[in-house]
Amino acid sequence: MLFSRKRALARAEAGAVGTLRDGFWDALGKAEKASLIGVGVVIVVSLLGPVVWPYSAIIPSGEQLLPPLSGGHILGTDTLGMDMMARLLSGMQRSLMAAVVVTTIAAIFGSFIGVMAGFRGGAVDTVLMRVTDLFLAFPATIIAMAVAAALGQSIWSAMAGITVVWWPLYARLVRGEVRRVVALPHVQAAKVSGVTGWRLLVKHVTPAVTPTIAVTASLDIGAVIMTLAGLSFIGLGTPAPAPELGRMASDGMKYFLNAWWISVLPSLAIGLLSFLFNYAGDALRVGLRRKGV
Amino acid sequence: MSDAPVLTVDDLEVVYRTRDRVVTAVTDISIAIEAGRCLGLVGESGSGKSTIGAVVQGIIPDDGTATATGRVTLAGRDLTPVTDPVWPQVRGRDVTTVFQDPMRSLDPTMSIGSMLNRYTGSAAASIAALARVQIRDAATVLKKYPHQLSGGMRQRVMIALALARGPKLLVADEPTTALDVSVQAEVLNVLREASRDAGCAVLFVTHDLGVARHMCDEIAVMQNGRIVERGPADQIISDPHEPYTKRLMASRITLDTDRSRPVGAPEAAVVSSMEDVLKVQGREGGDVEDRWAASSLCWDDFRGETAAVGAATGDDAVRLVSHVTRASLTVNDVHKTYTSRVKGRKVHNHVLKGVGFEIGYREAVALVGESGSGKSTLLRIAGGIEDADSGAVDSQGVAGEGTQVIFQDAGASLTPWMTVEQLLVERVAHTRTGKDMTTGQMRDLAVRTLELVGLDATIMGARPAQLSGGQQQRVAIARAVVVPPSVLLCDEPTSALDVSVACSVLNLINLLRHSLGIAVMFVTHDLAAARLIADRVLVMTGGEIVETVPAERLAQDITTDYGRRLVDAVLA
Repeated sequence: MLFSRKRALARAEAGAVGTLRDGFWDALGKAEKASLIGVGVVIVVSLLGPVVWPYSAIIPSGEQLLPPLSGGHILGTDTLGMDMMARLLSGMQRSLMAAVVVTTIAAIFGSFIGVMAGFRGGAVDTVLMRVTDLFLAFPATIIAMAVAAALGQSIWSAMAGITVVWWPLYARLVRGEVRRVVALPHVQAAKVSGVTGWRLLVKHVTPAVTPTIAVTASLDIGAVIMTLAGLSFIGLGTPAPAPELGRMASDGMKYFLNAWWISVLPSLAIGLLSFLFNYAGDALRVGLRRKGV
Repeated sequence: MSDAPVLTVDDLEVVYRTRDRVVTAVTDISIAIEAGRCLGLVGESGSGKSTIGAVVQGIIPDDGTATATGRVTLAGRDLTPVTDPVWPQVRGRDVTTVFQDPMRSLDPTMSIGSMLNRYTGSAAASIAALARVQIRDAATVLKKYPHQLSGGMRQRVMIALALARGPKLLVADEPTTALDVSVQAEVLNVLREASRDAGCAVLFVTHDLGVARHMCDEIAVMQNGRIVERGPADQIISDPHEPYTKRLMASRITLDTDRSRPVGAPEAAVVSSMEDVLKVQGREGGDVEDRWAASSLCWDDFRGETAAVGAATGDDAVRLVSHVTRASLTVNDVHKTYTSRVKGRKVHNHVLKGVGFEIGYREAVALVGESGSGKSTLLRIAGGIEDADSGAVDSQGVAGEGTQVIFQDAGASLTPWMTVEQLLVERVAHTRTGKDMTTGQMRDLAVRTLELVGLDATIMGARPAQLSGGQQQRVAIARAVVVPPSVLLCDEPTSALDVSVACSVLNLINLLRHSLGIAVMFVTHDLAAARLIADRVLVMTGGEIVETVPAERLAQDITTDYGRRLVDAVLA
């Protein structure tokens, strides 16, 4: 988890994105196109899957511990006889929605703080950034665990915990970008033309920053999925029988030797999701490669 | 010359293929250079001169996007352009390069010595190599890193590096364009003498005929991928045959350029009205003949026109009188110090040390000086981009709205995602004049202004990236004058432009100044351009104005050592 945060910061400093260009799709390589299609497929499957799939994710529907491809259950059943496929689909849906919500809130709040700090400068900048540093100073996992534990066992508290540790990244990233953009000639030229305040910020500064935020956010979805799964794995998500991938993986550990699929399949699902989103984020960055700014 | 040429290029054609189009970069190119001689490739951007430079270095990517036909013979080896597998052995040995920007092409993590010793073998040999490029304190320089040297020194080191491997051919691609003018001549001399001593042929790529004449034995003038004229340097300069070369020569600005008429205008041509001039000047892609012919209208005609406008109504006349008595811009004892921390200690950089001057109503004043002289800081303070530590700047004197700035890099000064219309209308909306105007009126004003600067109203919807360099500068100018300011501050507005475009932009500034009646402060390192635009030239060095000279008699009247150096730096 910490590892991915560091990576996000490194990417932020490399800051290599700009405004939307024509022919977004054309700029992509085969692997990048594949990753975007993959993300599309995963989103559709995890949204529609639980509705279409005949078995329930939380009601036992067959014999216990059926291995994959047996007894009419394509991925087998778990210790209580619940269909693995149904649980995976629901789990992916939960993960995805939680990650999108967390990333969106963190990105919006963090960017707002960052824009204020970078654009206003001076005391506002100092105060906002010291507060941000305060959040960054604690190990992210520990804060997230503390918040999630304090709010009780549910996916909502895990999400809240992660949001609390995630926004400072955006605050820092966006502050740096805003400071860079404010020093660019076109912003100074706009100032000379008499443009000030909100209009300067909204018309001349933020359009240069939004692609960076969008790309970072899409890259972050993968990392948030991992972190959520991690919290859920150590028991801070909604308790069973709720289909949470991390919880499923940890509960299945006990049966690993005689029923490997109960823990391996959810782990694979987590890996697949985070891999795809990471790759798609990169693709997005390539497609939005800087142009002029 | 009886020697066999070091480099011969026969029937070269290079074609670039992109996703949706095919561009012929150069075609029908045949050149030859003997040892110890220098061939200049002169042309404007897009003429293909750099493509030839890249071909003879074998640095055109062979990924299939470029195809080349023809033959290149380098130091006795026959090479297929672009794809020959021998290129990596030739590049960096038989052919070396001096790039435009030495700061970017020298490794910042290596000392000069460690770079040079790899080629020369020993420190003593390196010192000798530096001595050949007239670096006196060679032993000290060897220990330094690129960022510790001045631009001129860096370029000398670059030349020493390029010659250290004993190349047969040296390719110099605009080697002095990034340097201060006053060191440009020295570096050119070093390059010429060192390469001559080394018996090395030089392919010199430049956009500047003056530089080429200074440097080269022979000049080939390029236009649209073809060589249009070639010959001995002196003959090309003094007696050009081709119309294109003549026009390039005409658009060169020197200390003898006639100030009373637009630059680049042939003597004979006559055009009747201001509208004609502007219309034709703006069409950069259009017929060059028309463009130049149109520039021939004399400034005096505009002076007459504006005088007539000024006398039109009684109200205006009254306002005029009150304006004339007041300065457009008053700068009074301005100080500015930047403080930075180096290794924990505060370092004060006193950039402006009490600068004071006035720009009168409708007067044009040029501020000349090298980088670091404080001239750009002064402009930024006058433009309100920065604040002075002490002293006062006042531009409230006249009817116009304060100051407006035209930046060096016009492309970067236009917000990339906004259209020309949005940029102009925004400017109008933020002025006193624009307060009571409807959007429609503002748009009309924008269209009229675009026409005034010689652009077609059809570009209203274009974004900056879709415009050429000259068009971008015109849009930037249009934004600055759409509501005329009392003072137009120009920060080296032409130094990034091709000569013909630069001279039409200078003409435009001159024309706007007379027709709109605005004062101009023109910051530049180019004395010739300063003389052309300004009535008075202020020479700045070390944060102070050391001299004020009337532009008319610039070359004769300038007295300070520094001023004389600048005069000498203008290559005739």
